[in-house]
Amino acid sequence: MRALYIIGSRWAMAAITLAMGSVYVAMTFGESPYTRFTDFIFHSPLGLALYCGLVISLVAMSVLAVVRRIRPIAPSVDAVRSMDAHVHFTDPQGPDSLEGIAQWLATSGFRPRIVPQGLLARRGALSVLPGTVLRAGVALVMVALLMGAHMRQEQQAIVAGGGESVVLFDREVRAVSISSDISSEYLQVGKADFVLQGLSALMLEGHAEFRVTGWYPVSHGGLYWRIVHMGYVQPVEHGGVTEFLELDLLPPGHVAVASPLPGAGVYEFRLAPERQIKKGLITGDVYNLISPRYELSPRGRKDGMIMARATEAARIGVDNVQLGPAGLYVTLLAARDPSLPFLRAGLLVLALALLMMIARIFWYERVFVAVMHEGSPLLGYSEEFYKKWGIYKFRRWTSGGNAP
Amino acid sequence: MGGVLGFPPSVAAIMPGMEQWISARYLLEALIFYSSLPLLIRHGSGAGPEGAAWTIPAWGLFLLGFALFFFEARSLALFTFDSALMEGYPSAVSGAALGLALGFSPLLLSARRLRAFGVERFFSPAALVVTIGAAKFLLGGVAEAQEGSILVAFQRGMQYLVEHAVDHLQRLLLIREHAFIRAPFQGLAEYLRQDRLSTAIAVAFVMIPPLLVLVRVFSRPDPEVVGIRVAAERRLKVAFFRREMISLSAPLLVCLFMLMVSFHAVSAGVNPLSEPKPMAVSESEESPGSIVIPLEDMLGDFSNGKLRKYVFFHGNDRIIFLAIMKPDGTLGVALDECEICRPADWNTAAQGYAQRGDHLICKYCMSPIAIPTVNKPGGCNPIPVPFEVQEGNIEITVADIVRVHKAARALVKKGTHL
Repeated sequence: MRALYIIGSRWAMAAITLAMGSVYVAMTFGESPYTRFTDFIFHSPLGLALYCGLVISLVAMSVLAVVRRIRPIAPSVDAVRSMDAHVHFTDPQGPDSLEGIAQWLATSGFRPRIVPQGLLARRGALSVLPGTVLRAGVALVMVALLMGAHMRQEQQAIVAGGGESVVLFDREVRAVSISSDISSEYLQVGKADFVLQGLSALMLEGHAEFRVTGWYPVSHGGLYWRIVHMGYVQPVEHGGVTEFLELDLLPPGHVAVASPLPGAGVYEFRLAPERQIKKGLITGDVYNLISPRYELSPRGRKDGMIMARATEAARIGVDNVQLGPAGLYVTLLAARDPSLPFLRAGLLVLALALLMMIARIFWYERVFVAVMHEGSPLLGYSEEFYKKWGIYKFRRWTSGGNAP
Repeated sequence: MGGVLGFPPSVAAIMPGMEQWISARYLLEALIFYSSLPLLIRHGSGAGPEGAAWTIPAWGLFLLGFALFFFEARSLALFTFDSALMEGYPSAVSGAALGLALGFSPLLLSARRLRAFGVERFFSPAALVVTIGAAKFLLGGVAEAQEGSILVAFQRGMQYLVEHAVDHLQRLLLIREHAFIRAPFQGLAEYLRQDRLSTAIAVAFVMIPPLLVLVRVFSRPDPEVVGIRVAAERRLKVAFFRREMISLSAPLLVCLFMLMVSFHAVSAGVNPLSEPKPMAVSESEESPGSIVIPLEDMLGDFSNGKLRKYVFFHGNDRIIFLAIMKPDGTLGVALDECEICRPADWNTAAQGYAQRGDHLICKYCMSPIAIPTVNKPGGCNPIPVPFEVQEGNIEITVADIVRVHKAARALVKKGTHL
C-alpha cells in the first residue's frame, strides 16, 4: 500500500514527466527530435522504464483517488476541525442537536445520515469519476501506443480494377472493380484543389468480397485495409502486345514519367484539358477524367510533343499505337496492428471524460460532518474546489441561520 | 566567473559557441521561472499563517544571483574586450570597471533603506522568483545583444511537437492525409496543426506559474472576525488583510503583463512578415514570347514554400508578380495585387503581399490569404496569372501576363484614400 501511495503521488508523476520532458528537450539539440524521442521511449530500456512508470503512476493515482472517495468518513472532533470551515453552535438560538442540523440540511437536497459517532451529509461524490476516466483513457492510449510501436506491420501494393491479384501478408487479393467520383467535365480554375471523396475498391479474397475505401480503414480477416493513392492504368497496344502504363497524373498538372513503348524513350505524361474557359480574369481548364486526353513530351527535349486520348490511336515516334480505355489503379495499404482497437477505445474514453467534466452531475463534492461536542453540535464543511467561496457560504449559512 | 570566461581571448576561444551559450541561458531562465512552483508548494502565498516569515537560504540566494549575472557578465566581458581592441586596452578595462561600480552604487547606497522596505510585503518566495523569471524572459537576448528570446524557441518547439504528434496519431490510426484523397478528421487535424493550438499551449505553459501563485494569494478567505466584539476592529482586521492581498498580487499582475508583452513580441518573431525583393525577369531568348522562371535557382528551389516576387518590364509598365509553392506541391502564380485593394501610388509600403507562416498577407488591408487558395480568384486573393510548368521551369506567356495586368489596371478598386 505504501508503494501505491508513492508511485501514485503527484510528486512521482511530476518527476517522471519532468524526466521525459528533459529528455525531449535534450533531443531538440539534434536532428528529428520527435522521431528520436519516440524511439527512445518505445525502444530503449530507460525510456521504457519511464514510460511504464508513468502509466503505472496514472493507474495508481486513479486507484488512490477512488479509494479515498469511497472510504467512509469517521465523524470526530478532530475530523470536523480539520475541514475547511467549522462552527460550534453554543448559542441557544441555534441548533442544539444533530437532528436539528439534519433537518436544516435536508431542506436543500442533502441527505444527512446520523451514525453513532455523528452526522454525515455528502453531495457530488461522483466528482471523482471524470478524472479517473480521463486517467484511464490516457493510460489506455499510452499502452496502445507502446503495443503499436512493437507489433504494427504494414504492407502496400498496387492493384488495378479487374487486374492481377497481389499478395499482402501471405493473402492473395484482387480488385474486382474500382470506383470514384471523377467526372468527364472537371473544371479546374487556376490550379485549384482537387479532392476525391467517393473512392472505393471492391476486393476479392477467395470467395469473400470486401470493399476498401480511401476514407476509414476497414477490417477484414484480421487486417486493416485502406486506399492510400490512386492513378490511371493506361493500356497501350502495339503489334499485338499490350503494355499497361501506371500513370500518376492526379491532380491535373501532375507529371508522370513512363515509356509508352519499349525502345521509344521516356516521355513525360500530363493530363491535357479538353478546353479552356475564360471569364474576365478567370481562366479554367476542363478535363475529362474518365476518358482522359494526354500530353506526351519526350524527356529532355522541347519538340516532339504528342497529344493522345484514351481509346484512340496515336503515333509515338514512328510507331502507331492503340490506346485502350483508361482504368484506375489504387495503392492498397494493409496493416496488422492488434493495438488499434485499444487506441481507438482510449481516444473515445478520453473524449467521454472531457464530456463528463462539463456535466453538472459530476461537479465538485461537498461534505458536512457534525458531532456533539461539550453538549452542543460542532459542524464542519468542506468543498472539493472553490474552498474560499465554500467558507464564505458556510459562514453566511451559519450566521444567518439559512439552510445551505 | 562570467567575466573571466568572456574576457581573455584564450579562454573565450575554448568556450562553447554562441548557440550553446544561448541554449544554456534558455535552460537557466526556464529553471528560475518554474522553480516558483516548488516554492509555492513549500512556502504558500507568502502571507498569513502559512508563510509569515519566509527566508531563502544563503545557498539559494547565491544560486539565484549566479544565474542572474553569469551570462550578462560574460557578454559584458566580450563587449569590453572588443572595445579594448578598438579604443586601447587600459582605457576600456578601466571604463568598464567604472561603469560597473557606478551601476551598482545606487544599490549599495540605498541598501539600508531597501532592507527596511520589507520585500516580503510584496513578494512571496514563489512570486519573487516568478517575477524575476518573467523579467528574464522579457529582457532575454539583451545579454547576447541579439533578439533571441526563449519564448520564440519554446513556441517553435511547441509547433514542431504538435505537428509531429498529430501526424503520428494520424499514421497510427491509419488515416494519414493525402494530396487529393480526403481522410477522416482531416479538417480537425489541419486545425490542430495550425500554430493557434501550439501558441495556446505555449501561452498556457508560461502563464500557469504566475497564475497559480496569484490564485493562491486570492484563495485565502477573509479572517474570521466573529469573536471580535468591536465593529471597527473587525473592519480594520479585514481591511489589513485585503490590503496585504493587493500588495502581494501587484507584482504578479506586473509579471503577467510582462509575459503578455513578451508573447506579443514573440508572435512577430515566430511568424515575421516576410517580403522578398522582386527579381527582375525578362522575355526568354530560348522561348520568345514567354517568361521562363526556373524552379530551382541560386535562391534554392520552390519546395521551401517561400514567397518569391518578380518584376517584368513591358514598355512603360512595371508588372510585379509573385510565385509560391503550395503545401500540396502545386504552384501558385499571381499578380502582386488583388481585385479590391488600391493603395495610393505613393504608399508603396502598403502595396502587394508579404508572407507570414502559411499565409500571404495583403499589406493594405492585412487580410490573411491561405496559401492553398493562391490561383483562386476573387476577394482579396492575388489576381491569378496563367502559367505552365515545363521541364522544371515556370513558363508565363508575355501576352497573358500583360493582358491580366491591363485588365487589373482597368478594374475599379476601392481603398483609394490611402
